[in-house]
Amino acid sequence: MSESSDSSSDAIHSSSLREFWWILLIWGACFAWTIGYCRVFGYELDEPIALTFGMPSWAFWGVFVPWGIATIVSCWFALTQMQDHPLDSDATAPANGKDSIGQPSVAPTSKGQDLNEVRSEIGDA
Amino acid sequence: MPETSNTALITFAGYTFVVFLLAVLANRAAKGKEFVGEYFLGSRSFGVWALALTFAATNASGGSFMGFPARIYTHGWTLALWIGGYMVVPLVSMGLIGKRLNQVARKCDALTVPEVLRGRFRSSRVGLVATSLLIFFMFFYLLAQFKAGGKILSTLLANEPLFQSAVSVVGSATENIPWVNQADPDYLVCLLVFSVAVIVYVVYGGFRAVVWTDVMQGIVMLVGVILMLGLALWQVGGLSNATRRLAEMTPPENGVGVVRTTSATGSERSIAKGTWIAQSDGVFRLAEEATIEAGKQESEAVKILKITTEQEIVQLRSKIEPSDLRVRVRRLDPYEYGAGQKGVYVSNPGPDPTNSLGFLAFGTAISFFVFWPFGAAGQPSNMVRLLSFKDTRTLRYSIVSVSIYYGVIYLALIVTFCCARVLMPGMEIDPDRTMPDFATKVTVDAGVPWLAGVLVAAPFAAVMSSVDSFLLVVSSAVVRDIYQNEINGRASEKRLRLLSHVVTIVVGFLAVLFVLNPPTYLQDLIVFATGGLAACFLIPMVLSLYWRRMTGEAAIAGMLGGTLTHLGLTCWGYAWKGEFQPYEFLGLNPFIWDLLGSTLASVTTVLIGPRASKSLVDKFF
Repeated sequence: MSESSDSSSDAIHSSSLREFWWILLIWGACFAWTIGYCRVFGYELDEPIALTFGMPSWAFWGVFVPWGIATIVSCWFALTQMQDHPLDSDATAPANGKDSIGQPSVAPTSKGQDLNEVRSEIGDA
Repeated sequence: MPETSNTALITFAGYTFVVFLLAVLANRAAKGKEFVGEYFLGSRSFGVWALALTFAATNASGGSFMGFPARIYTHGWTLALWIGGYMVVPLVSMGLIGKRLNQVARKCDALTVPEVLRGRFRSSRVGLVATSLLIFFMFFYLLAQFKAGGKILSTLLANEPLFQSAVSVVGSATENIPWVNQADPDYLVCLLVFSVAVIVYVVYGGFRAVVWTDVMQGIVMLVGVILMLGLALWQVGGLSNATRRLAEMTPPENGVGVVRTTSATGSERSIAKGTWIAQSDGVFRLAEEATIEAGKQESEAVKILKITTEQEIVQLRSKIEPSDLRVRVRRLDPYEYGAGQKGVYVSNPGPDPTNSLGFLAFGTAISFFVFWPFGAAGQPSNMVRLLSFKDTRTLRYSIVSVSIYYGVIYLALIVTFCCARVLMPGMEIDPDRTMPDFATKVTVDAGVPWLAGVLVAAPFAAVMSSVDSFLLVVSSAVVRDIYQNEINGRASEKRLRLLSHVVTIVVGFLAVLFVLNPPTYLQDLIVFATGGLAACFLIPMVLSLYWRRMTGEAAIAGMLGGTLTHLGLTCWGYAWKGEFQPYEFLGLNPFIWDLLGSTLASVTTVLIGPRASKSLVDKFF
């Protein structure tokens, strides 16, 4: 795992997006293995069923083995490939007290106040 | 089996006590914190074990411990492929959007899923559409889980004398109350006990209590499953033996017949559901109670099950006590797929009583591998958990924990209930009882009947951990997304506290009222609601988090596109088959078409609609 102190939206967005595509790739690999193997070796078997470790071979090689590998890959990916970032929105505010569009960044004193600001912006729009 | 039922009652009482204790502790921990954030999201403070186990337990609803074992029992090893998509559920459902969703939610100060979308686009309309759809689909889900809670409890306590006394008292007390008197008294008692327990601890402890009880429930489920796996493998003589015997089995035949006695009785005689009758032309099990009226020799026609596997017939003949009862068969319905075929329980697509393509046609297998991980990623109850973790390290370690947890639970369940198919014939008459009955059987046979209580607590824990989460999701949608965000943004904390408690109680009460007489198609409604929620929220949420050009209009289009595709296919299915089941276009699960519909609607709206606001892009990207 790499740790990043960069808490900007762009940094978190970029690393999350990269992880997003990797996760889809891992899902695709599991899909191809499980569905492909079981389609070829697990459907409508005519001959006496072959066993591996007490279970039908198609289930062992087509489901249990990829499941084990998927678990290992998930752990490896989460522990070593996903980046850490500070998530707190306060941490993402620039130090100069301006937000990203140059307006003074004002921390709302209450939820109601914050919502009313949003409502007025919607009204303005 | 009175000793087992007593154990179940004691287990349930002890279990409920611990749940209330956790709610009290959660309530104390919440003291001094801002109420709404604490009640609906636990102040975004949860660590690895809390996040991992609440995520795992919420996902593993009653279906995992009642419906899934029943399916394994009925269809055999093909369920390994059916559930195969779960191998990537933790990674996909937590990793795909978890980090980014949590960050955006913090930026918007959002506590709910609709609020994230509302804040992301600074649009009340987006929030209101999301809230409406969430409440619509979620309420169906809530109904189903309340019903499952009542059913499971009534199954567990069925033979307990104290429970039967309570049933007769409640039955006579409610016999004149309209609507309520239509419910079976035993189900009514269990539903009320279950609902009151859940509503009280959710109201008292809020999200923190829900998460803490989920942690306990997650541990109960794991321990129960592992114990049952060990006992099952030991009693069946190893997995190889179980699979070989399974390979020799042929599916039973459902049918209708009358029960005859060789001598007329002076009084009415009832023959219980589940009674075995062995005779020269076969071995039968009654699928419902038969009654022979006084002075007659024959009952009305009842549902029966005929065993067709030779080795089972031989075993059963040696165990069934001789009696004067005989079955005269009126009609037998062989399985549509797999009748008379050896090997169907150990290969795909698996036997099926009603589907001529078998249980798991290839297109269905593909669909489920897509549905499990992406359907889980799109569930608002899971997304809410992704708003609650305190840092990204928590998310990463939770993915690790849940991956291992699911691997153990689901693979163990497959092996255990394939063994159950061999050890306990005839459960096709009531497949949902497979789990509690098998727990009872393996513990009694092993000489440890007290252990049944621990095992049967697992499905109960699973249902409870789902109900509490859904209850809070619906309540938060009303209090936070409608009242606080749209009606009264300056409401005092005292008022919000009162409103949150009242809404949670009212939503729970309404759900109980509805499921007193659950609609016929309730199981289908669960499928409808699960697919609908994921179809509605997944694509708009993913695009909102990752695509700079995404707009509020496109989010609304995506939600409506997914929902309308889902409704359209459901209506098409109803018109086509006359059943409340969606049409499977090209043999694929409607969820896949829903996602395509949602994506198409979102992307088209972005391409032809107004550009995304620069200030929003700057804020979130």
